[in-house]
Amino acid sequence: MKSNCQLSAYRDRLLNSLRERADRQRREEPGSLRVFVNHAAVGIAECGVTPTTWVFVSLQDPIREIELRTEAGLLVGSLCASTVSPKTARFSAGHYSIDVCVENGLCGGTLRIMSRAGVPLWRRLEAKGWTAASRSLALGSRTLARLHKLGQDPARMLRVGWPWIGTVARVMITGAVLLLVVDRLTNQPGHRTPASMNTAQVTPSGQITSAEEHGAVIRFLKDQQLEVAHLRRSVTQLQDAHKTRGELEARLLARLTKAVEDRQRLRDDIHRLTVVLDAMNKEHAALTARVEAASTEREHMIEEVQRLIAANATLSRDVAVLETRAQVASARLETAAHPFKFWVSFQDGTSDKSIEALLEEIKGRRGPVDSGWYSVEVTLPQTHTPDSFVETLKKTPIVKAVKTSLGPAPAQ
Amino acid sequence: MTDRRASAGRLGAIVPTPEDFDRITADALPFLLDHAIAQTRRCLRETGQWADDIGHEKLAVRIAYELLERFLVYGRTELPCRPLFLLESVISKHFSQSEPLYYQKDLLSPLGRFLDGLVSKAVVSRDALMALYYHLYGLTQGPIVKLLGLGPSECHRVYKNFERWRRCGWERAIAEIGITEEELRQLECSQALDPARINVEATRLVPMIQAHYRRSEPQHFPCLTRQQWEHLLTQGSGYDYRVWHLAMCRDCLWHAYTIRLARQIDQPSPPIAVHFHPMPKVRLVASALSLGGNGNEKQLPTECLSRSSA
Repeated sequence: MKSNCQLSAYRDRLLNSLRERADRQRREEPGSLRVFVNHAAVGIAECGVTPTTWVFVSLQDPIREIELRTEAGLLVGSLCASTVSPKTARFSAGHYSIDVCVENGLCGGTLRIMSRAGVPLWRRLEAKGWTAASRSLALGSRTLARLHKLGQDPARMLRVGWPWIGTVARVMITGAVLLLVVDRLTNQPGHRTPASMNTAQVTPSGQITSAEEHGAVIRFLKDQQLEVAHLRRSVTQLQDAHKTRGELEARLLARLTKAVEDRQRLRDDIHRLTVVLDAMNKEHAALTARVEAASTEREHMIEEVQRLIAANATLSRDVAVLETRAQVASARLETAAHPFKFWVSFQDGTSDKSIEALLEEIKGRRGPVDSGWYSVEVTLPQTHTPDSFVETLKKTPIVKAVKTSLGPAPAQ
Repeated sequence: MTDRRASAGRLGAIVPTPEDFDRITADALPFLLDHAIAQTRRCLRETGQWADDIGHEKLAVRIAYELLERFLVYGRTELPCRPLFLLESVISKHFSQSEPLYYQKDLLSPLGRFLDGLVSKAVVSRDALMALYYHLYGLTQGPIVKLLGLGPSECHRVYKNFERWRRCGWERAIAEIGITEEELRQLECSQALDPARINVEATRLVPMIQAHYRRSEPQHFPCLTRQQWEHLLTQGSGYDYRVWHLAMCRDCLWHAYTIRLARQIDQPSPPIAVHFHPMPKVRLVASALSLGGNGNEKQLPTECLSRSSA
């Protein structure tokens, strides 16, 4: 609870400080201004009677934030220059007017602070005097109007009007005194009415009676001639000055024209560069898009190649497996196929041709013939057993008998 | 609640002219301060620099006040603008800097707040800068002029600074720092009971605070060696450098002591003697009369350093 009260009181005090700061800025004389650039104090700008300019140049960092504070610490100016283009601002502190100008380059920047007394004292007095006078006149006229309305009753007029007359008189006296003060203050050598020219008292020629008067007239005429000569010289000098001024103006005009042309040329160059830059940007964007497309395509191709490599590897593995299986099968076949030797006798009258055809059919290898028995050896596949082979062979018409005994050839 | 909504509405609209800006912000000042406090509190909380106590609350209010003061001046140059958004950008910009504030829990105590607030005020105010010599070391105007070797015009300014600080600057600074009268009374009681304890604590805190606020020093104000200071103090230039840097750097101040006293003192740095109130007017006049402020006084800084607060 106590903390809340403390906080609330603290907040109220700070609010009052904030409310007072505008008044303080108007009322307090700054003395000298401490200048902060990018939150670092960089120097002191003096505020004097004569206009002064204070310059700060930053060689490395651009000038981004500027703050001006009085000797009492009051913040009277704050400016943020976030762009390269020049930025200006005007602040007031006391009766000083402060102009701030910031120009930033690509690296570094320049800060100018110009302070001048805003309104001279005698001008303010003069303004106040005229204000007081006009107010007193207005008050007087209003009072007179009221008195005029009450004019039919002199006693009432006197009773009501007397305090007003006193007030009006006091106000008018105050106004008059102020006007006199202002008049004295403004009556400076520079503002005085020029002294009237010396005018010679020329007497008519008919009245020149003595030599002294004649001499005086001659001196006067000589003085006049000298004055005329002096005036002529002055006129000549003025003409020369005018001519010089004209030449100067012409030169300045020429420089100005050149500067304007340069500026225009610069603008054209900037425009051209901008156009080129735009085109380059577009080209760059197109190239970037193409590069991106190519990159995407490349990525797709890489993915495809990787997929193919993976498939190839799988295929190779399958082939290897199949080869292994084939080898195993072949080996099995080799082990399963076995030679089978038997003896066969043919029907009488069977021609050798028929015998050869049969042997060829069963892929048999003929051995020696003994007593009508032909020795034959075949290689039986795994699927055939010798018995089944013999049975099949017996069913052949030309075969008479078949024997499987491996002993000597049987007798017929 | 309706007022707050109306204020937020007005501050969220575009303000075209400086007069409008002044009028609208003046009307909505409490709302703006509360908004700035809330934003500051949020930033402190998000950066891990927050605890729910009165010290942190006061810190948030003080930072919000300083930012709002900047906003009120800066906003007039950024027109047309939406004031509420501009205030938020000012706050965000402040907290986006590296080390926007010197956060130390020790500095949230009344003594820490007093020292921190005083030194931070000295950064922006020459009156506070000159008064810092008195509040930290007990130096009055005469010894300051002697120590810094100031010329007649600079000497006159020192007296003006002290006078303005005594008249209104100190009171305003204390109000802005948030030290209550009760806290001030307690600090002074503690100092009266045990002066060494406060000075030892201040001796621990002051170098840290000064080191932080020297960031605002110009880059061409480095610490110098004793020989360099000897050379500089005999020259008729660099017054601003002397005034600023010596107030903010104890080591360099010690060089200046030994040089201006023309003898070596067997101490590493000047002793701290905290003064909570500004120099009283009687002493100010006595100092002006006895020393004359012309740099010819016989009183030595060490005598002032050994004094306690009046």
